[in-house]
Amino acid sequence: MIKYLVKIFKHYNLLIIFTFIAVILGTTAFSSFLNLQPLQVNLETSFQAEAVDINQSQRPIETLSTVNFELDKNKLALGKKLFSDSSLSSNNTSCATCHNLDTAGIDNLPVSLSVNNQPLDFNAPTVFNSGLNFKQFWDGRAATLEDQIEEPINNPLEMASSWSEIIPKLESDSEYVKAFDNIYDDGIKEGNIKDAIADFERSLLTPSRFDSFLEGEENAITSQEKKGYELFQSYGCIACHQGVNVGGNMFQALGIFNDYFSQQDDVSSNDLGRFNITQQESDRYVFKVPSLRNVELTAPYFHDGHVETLTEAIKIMAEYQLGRAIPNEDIEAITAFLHSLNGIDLEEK
Amino acid sequence: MSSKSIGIQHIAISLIMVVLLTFFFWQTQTFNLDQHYQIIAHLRYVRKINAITNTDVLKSRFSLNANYDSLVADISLLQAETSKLRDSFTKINFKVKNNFSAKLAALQSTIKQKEAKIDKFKSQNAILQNSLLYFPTVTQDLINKLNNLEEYYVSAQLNELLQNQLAYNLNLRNNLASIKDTLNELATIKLSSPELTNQLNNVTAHGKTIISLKPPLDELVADIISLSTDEEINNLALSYEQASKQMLMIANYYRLLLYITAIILLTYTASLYRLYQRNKILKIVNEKLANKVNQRTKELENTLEKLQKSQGKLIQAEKMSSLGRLVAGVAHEINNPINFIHGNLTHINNYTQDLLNLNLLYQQEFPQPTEVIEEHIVAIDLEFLGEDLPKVISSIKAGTERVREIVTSLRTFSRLDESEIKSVDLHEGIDSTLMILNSRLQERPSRPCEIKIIKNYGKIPLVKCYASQLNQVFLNIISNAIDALELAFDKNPHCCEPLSDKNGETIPTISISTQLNNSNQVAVSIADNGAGITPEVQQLMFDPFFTTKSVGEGTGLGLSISYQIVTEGHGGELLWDSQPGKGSRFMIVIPVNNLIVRKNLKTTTQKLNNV
Repeated sequence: MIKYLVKIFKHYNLLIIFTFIAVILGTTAFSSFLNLQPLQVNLETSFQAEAVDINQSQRPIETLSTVNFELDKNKLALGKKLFSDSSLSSNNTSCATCHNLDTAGIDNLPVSLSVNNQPLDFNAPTVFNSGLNFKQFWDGRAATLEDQIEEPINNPLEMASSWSEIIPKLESDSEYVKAFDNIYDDGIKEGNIKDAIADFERSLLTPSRFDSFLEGEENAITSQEKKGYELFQSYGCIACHQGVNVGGNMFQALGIFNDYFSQQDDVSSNDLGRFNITQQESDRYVFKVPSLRNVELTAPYFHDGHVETLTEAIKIMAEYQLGRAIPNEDIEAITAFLHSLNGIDLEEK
Repeated sequence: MSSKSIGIQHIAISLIMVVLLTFFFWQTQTFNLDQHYQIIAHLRYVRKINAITNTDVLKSRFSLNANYDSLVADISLLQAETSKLRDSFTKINFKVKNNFSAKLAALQSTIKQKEAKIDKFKSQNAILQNSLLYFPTVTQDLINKLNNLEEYYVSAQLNELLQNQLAYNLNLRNNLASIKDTLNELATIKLSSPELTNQLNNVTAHGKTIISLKPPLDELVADIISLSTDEEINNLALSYEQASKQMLMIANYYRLLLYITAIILLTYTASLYRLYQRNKILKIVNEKLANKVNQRTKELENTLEKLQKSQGKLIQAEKMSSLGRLVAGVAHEINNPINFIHGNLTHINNYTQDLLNLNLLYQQEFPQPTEVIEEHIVAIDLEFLGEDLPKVISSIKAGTERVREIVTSLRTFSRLDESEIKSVDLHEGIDSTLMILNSRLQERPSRPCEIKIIKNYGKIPLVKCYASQLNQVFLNIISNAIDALELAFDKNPHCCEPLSDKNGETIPTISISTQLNNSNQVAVSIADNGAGITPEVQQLMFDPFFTTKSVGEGTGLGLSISYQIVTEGHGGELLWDSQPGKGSRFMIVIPVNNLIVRKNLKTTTQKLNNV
């Protein structure tokens, strides 16, 4: 009996040693095989990343319905509240003070005024459709709306505040605390405040009759307006004022065929435009091409609010930018076309 | 090694291996394949956006894009994705040396340059496009308006300019110098009306714009396209791939270690389990072995005991046999002279009587003896001699009678001639035994009275038995009884004083009784009023070599041999009963006519031979 058991054990020992060697060899081979790698590819991720979805626009001006900002309702409500909240400033002003939503998002002044009613540097651009601008400010010094918010907040002549002042103010308001906590994990933070305001601003799109026309509604605009659009293209206005925002997606020098500023009375350093930012000679007098949406409602015009009427502005553009004269008849037509760019909602106000 | 210490060692080793296993596993997890493919895909994506941006620049340059929105979207997407890529890279813990952060920073600044260049491109392209559109129409319009001969030259020049410009714009001819000359010349010309002059100025202005903008714009486009963004992304991808390979190699190295450790652990556990199983089997086997050894030991002990018994028996048998022979021989040798003496004693008695009678006759016939005779009669005290001689003779006669009796007893006891089964009168055997032990029964200095023998013989038939063996049994039991009596009565001051003891028995007594139990069984009872047997001794007294006597006095075989003789030899029983301090009683019960006797004896001898 015992002898038999010993015999079996001896065999088992051999068996185990052989198995051990075999398994080690096997795993070594297997792992060297694994060195050849990609056994598993996350195809979903790679294909998602491969697909570049960029709107290839075929028309010089695109309808607003092609714009798709993904915005959160709660965030918009919060942003709207913050936009009009003077507690973001130390001087009872708010974003809405200069970008009055009831007056097409502007203050109707040539240049906005400081708290002490001193003129500031630039004409306040409308907040409507500002989310479609490729850069913010006349000289494009802010890349995004979020960046843009920084300046008026911290500018002592404008809202004269700072985040360290604003945040405790907001935190003392239980409604804000609740609203922020609902949307953001980390509550009231500088970035979150800017995010809410910027997203609210992105929501301020103004669909016009011209958009309806682009969407195929032939009678949305008058024949005069249609003629204006034709002229707008043939005179070359469209070269700069193009895209979904009818401008706002490029820079251009003011005074291409003639020196515009030499004809002006009071030229300031503000008129240097983008030169102030880049210090490059080629950027002298270069400004962001403004959007022409709601242009009729946002007089006065140009970076310094120097031009009061559209006709005048078109004339200046023709002379200095296009290097040609436009007859009054055509100017009227073009003005009519620009009229069709007014936001339907804004016109009603 | 105790099993407990083995356990602790094994647990420690297993624990260490499990810790190693966990460590290696953790090390293999440092390379995240999912993340890896995401980064690769992301890099490819960024590269693709860059390519699309370049394409869009070219498209815009040749008016294939109707607006700049896509270009703006391209470059901002490129920037956003690059900064996302940078975030992804900072999240990864590269275990190898790398300069990804520097490379990404460089890429971002290149993209910024690209953006600036594209912004410039958009501005200039807008102007150039307008001029390119306007120039042919305004020139043709002016040509059409110039009708008179005076202005024919201008018209011709304008025509040539138009063609040259067209060729130039299509990059068909490098005629920049002649275009410039023509434009300069035209700029000085004043036409018939200020309106026409104004239009001519427009023509020259736009013509100049074209030739001044086109070369830098073409250069700018080439610059944008050839900007090192693509190269940098590719470089980044390549070095990332290299780093990944190294990381994967490290991870794989740990994976190999992981496998090996796992296998070792597995094998170790398996062998532990096997060891445990083997130990279990060994334990069972050991137990069986131990049991077997115990059994064998017991068997050996039994055998030894048997051997000792039979050895003792053999010794005793041999002793008894030689003693028997000796006794028989002595008895035989003594028997003759005694018969001699005994036979002649009658003659001696007759002769001495005759002589004494003769002497009396002499005295009567010769009343006056001589002086010498007288003196001799006095000297020998004839009168006394005449009286004493018959007495002496009768005394000698008694002595010889006694000797003859002893001899007979010895012969009866030894029964040398009766080793075969014979029908014997047991009383004879008992008596002869008593005769042999007679001397021990006599009074002694230590015991003032002799041992009283009370015989109570019943009527029993002759019993078929080995007489000498049974005599030996009687001898053993009676001499044990004498020993017990000696133990109880020697040096006892009250010995032999009638009724001086509470027991009422002060005289040492041995009672021997026989009786027929039934027609087939005879019982011989031998009782004494001696010391009795203590309980301790009772348990051991039948064991061979057990003795209460001092060394050299007893063999320790008496009772054991007796027991065997009665039970095995004769198929009987040896019963006993003892009360310490009061006495003991042994009863031998044997069948009268036992046929088995012979058989039993045979088997016994066989057994002895086997052992």
